[in-house]
Amino acid sequence: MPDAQEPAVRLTNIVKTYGGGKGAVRALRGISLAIPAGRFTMLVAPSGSGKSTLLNLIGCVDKPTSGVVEVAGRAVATLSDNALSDFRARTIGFIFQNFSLIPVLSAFENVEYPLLLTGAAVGARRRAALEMLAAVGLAEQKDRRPNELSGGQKQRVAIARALVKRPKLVLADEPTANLDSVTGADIVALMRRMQRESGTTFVFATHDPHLIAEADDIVAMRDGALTDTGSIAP
Amino acid sequence: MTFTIALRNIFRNARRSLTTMLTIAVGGAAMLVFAAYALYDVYVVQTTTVQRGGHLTVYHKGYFDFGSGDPAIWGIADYESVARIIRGDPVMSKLARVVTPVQFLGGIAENPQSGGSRTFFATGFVPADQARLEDWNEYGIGTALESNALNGDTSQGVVGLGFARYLGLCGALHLKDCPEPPNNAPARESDVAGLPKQDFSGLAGPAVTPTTPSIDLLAATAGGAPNIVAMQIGRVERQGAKEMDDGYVVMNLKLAQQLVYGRGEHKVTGIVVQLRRTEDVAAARARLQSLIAASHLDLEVRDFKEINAYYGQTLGFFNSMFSFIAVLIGVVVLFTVSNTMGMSVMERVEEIGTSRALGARRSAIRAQFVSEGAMLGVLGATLGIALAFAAAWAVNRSGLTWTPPGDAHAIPLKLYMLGAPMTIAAVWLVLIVVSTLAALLPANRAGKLAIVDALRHV
Repeated sequence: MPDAQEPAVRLTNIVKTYGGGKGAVRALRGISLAIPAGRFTMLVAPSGSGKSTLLNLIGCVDKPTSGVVEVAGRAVATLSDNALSDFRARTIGFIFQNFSLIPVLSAFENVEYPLLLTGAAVGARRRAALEMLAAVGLAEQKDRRPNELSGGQKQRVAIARALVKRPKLVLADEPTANLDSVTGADIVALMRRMQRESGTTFVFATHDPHLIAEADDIVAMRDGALTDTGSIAP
Repeated sequence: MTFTIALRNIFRNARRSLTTMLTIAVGGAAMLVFAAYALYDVYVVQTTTVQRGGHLTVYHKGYFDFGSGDPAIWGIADYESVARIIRGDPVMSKLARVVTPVQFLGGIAENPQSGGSRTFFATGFVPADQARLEDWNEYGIGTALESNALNGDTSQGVVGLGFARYLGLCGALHLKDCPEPPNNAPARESDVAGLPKQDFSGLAGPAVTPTTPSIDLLAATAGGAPNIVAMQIGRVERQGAKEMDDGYVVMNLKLAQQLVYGRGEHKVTGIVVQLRRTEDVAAARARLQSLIAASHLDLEVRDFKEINAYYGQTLGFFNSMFSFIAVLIGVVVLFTVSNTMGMSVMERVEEIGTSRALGARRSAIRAQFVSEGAMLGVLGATLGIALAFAAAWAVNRSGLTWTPPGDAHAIPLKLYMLGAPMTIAAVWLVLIVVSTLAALLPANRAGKLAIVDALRHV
């Protein structure tokens, strides 16, 4: 875990351009940002402002056109594809808007899967997955496949999956967008509780006011550039 | 978990996977059924060949290449000693079931009653040994041959139906399906026909009163002089091939020797060795060669594949047919599995993106799809083997019969599924390898997907 002084994420002069020539679209325009560790940080912006692109760069699933991305103190640009995969497997958890559970795996197996990618031993894997499922209140549903779970339950599984490997950073892209308001509020409360218990850094891209209300820090964006950053919680 | 995901994805789109597996299974079953049929055919040809002439024949050195046109001068003298050496050898006695002398000859046959004549080619056997040769049945096929077994009467022989027809013996022998020459048959008008009719009766032995129709057989002796014997027609048996049927004569060895060697030393053309098992041919041949060398005999050994070129041709034909069918089926399986896996990749782009985001390497994604292709191959190939056994079971109990080319009798049509376990294993393995290879391209495409694009995929 990074020390208290070191940000979980540091972005320096990030530019991301899609396409080339006259049709080139500049999605991010020289963003520099430090996201503190152990906080609940929201990227807030209208649709098309580049927050998902920024989240993808932080999550090391995309590369900037220029600029430096550092995650957990590591500059990721120099990593090979395999090294980057291993880095993601150990360091970053993902929560997706549409849950993105693997449909042929049970809830338990979905939660166990990231541990498999880290090379954890079978016993440790199973113990951790069961504990995490219990923590999100789905111990009873562990053998159900995603198509047998409600939207809220799916997102709980996704949260368990993101946290089971105890990552330094969890990235969540509109995690409540596909949930009704009551379920969404439950999920927000769950993530907040889990974040407090684990001390993991959460970074969200969201419009959801329930979620924004829980933010420790907010990063506002418009048209690919930062418009405001600030801490709400001390 | 890679295999778990792969296996479950096979059943995720059960109908498509089943169609793919059935394609593999039917292709595999087709290959195996053909292989079983081909093997049966080869066994049939081998059985008829070995029943006629054994596995190995010991000839005078040079006979096989140069002597078949004149067997009289290429005979093996003191052949009984040679046969005793072979029978008395402890190795050969274990491998061989029949060791018997034979005499090949050719000449002109005449029916003294009708005046009809034609050329013949004959084999002289020891009757008891010939009967044992015809008993050989390593593969449980029985025989597709008409039995040419002689009785013990030295003067009696067996001839082909066509041969009897040519000599105008149909009426005298009361043969079915054996017409007499038509009255308006064209008469020969050559110079030869104008020659005075030859009378060979002076060459024949003392006259006997035959109980069955008799023919005169004329051949040149080893000394070049013409010789003639009378042979009673003990039995007429139709041979499979017309050219064989029209000139075929089987006679007692003693009669054949009398015809070829006259009052001279009686020799034989060869010593036929029939083994208990065909797989011992190489070992038996090597042993025979060492026995010949040790005894300083001027002899050579030939096996049934060399002597009967059509055996190798039959084998080659089936091998090339099998290869052709295997390639066709392999291509069909390749494209079917490739198409199935391609569709599977298209349907799971988002899953691929998720797995990659969670930390799966490209190689892990590739392995997942390659495993899926391999599993389709395993399931399809295994199902194919089961289908092939079911088909063989049905055919073997159907009572279908067929007459092999060159033979005279219909025999049960069988599929020898258990006859070639290595072929079954090879077909199973090849189908799996082809299925796995077919998955490589789609798997590679899946592994190369950009994570961001995959996650955005709807």
